[in-house]
Amino acid sequence: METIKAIIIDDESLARDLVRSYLGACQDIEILGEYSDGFQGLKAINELDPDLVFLDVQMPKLTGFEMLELLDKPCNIVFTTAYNEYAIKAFEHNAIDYLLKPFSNERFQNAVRKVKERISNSVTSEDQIEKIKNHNDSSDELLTRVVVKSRNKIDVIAIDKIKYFEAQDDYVMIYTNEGRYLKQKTMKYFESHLSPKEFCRIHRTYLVKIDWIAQLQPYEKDHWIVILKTGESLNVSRNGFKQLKLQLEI
Amino acid sequence: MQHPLLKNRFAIPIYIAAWAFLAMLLFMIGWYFEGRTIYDSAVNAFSFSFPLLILGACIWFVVIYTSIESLGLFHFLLHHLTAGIVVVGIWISSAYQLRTMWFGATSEGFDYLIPVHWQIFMAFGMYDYIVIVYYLVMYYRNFQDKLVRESELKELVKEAELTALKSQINPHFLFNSLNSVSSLTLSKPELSREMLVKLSTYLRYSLAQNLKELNNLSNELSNIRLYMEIEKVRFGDRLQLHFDLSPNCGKLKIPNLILQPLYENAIKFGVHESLEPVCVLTKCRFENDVLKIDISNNFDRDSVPAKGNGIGLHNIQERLHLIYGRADLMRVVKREDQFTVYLEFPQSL
Repeated sequence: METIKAIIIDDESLARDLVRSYLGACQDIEILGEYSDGFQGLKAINELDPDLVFLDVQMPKLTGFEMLELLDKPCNIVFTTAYNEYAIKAFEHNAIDYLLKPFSNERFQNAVRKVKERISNSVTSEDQIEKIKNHNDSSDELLTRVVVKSRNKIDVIAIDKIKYFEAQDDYVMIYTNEGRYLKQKTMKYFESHLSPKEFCRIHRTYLVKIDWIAQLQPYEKDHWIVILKTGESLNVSRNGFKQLKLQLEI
Repeated sequence: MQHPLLKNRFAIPIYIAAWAFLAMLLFMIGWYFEGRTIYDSAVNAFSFSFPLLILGACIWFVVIYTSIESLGLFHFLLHHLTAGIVVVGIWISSAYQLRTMWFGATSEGFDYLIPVHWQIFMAFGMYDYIVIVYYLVMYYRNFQDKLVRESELKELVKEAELTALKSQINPHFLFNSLNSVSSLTLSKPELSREMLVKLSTYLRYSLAQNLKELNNLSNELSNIRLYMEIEKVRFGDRLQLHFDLSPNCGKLKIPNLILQPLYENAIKFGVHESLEPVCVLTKCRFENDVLKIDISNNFDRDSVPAKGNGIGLHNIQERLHLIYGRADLMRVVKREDQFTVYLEFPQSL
């Protein structure tokens, strides 16, 4: 069997030390590097293309999950975290294993065994990549921020800053005061992961932050448009109008 | 309080049955024991009992507004004597009216079949009887309400205690610290032992306290120091601590564990979200009989933190309000990259 190339991403150095010393017993695993936050981790994965990543969830700037969203291609992930509430989400992201801190060496070696099995009958197909990119996670936790990768940088956008979302084929365009960002997700994903008190789906193509609405104007017969505080006008569909009336309680 | 006749769907049928029984009794007395004609007995039984059908229901309103606890015995009896006279007066006179209206005047007048003084005596008896039944209903109902309320209250207290306990020790802090200990056992066993001792001391202190008590600032701060030192083992140079204490502060009192959530926040929103070192600064001083504590930390301006629910700060505000009766003892200031909480603890309670 070939050596497995691994990296460790965790913001606590002691936690990284532990993983490294547990890995000391595995001769066929080589550690390419250790990283203490999501940005570094992301860069390392894209550059080094490791076979295996040990990943913490709670890290500064970019959480483990946000980092996964930004990967160009999926890789084998073993989560190491003290939070048991992310387990389901982790397996939805195709994690190989989920280690709850503190974990024993036995438990750790068990995870390594699973990794080897997964790698030896590798099934990384194009399908799987698509599945991960487009997967709508079923957790009902509301988003507080969105991470977007453009050609040369990563933007972390606070939900509070977003004015509206616009559907564009397989993508969603996110509009803020600073600019617009393209994200590969569905409108349905955002609709179900944002508070219905704050956002309203006024049209098949638009999901708008209610706070930004300045006016609701009639436009031709049976037709309405929404004018934002910054001047943009967006179409409102018949269903969207009903929805908006419901949410504004008018 | 709702009228007992409307409260239960069986109440009205039972009430009517009781009334019919009384009317039947009156009829039997007239016809069987006194030997009057069936007609005379029926007229008398009906006219005498019919007013009671309405009056009986109305007496409830006398009962609910006349309680022995608020009036005292003398006024209580006076109330019922007055109400009784009014009720009996209406009763006897309407019974007479009914009789003469439907069946014509008789030579016996008020004394028809039963002498009027016996009628009054009977009416008073009935009044007392009904009043007693209503009081029983009312006391029973109050008693049941009290039981329900008590169990609800107990539930609430328990819930409050549970959340208080939960908020004292953050499980993620515990598990992450244990993970650090686990790591240290391999690399620096000496340090791991030290950390376990710190963790145990911290846990013992946090678990032992009764939340109502006031405690010495020095005790509280040494517990905070333990907590922050444990966190420092986890975060290394990313966390820096400064304590600035006036010498006369140690013996002053603060509610126990009240500062803990503030340091947890500093870790959560400062250290967790920043790549740069975060400094947590604590200042304590004693001015005008008031202990003033400022806790501040810098944070990464660009970070987009996961939103907190604000429960930690809200709880502190609530507790201060409960203990000192003032709502202005905590102030939170967020400047560009500095988060500061100003607290005041009056020393003369």
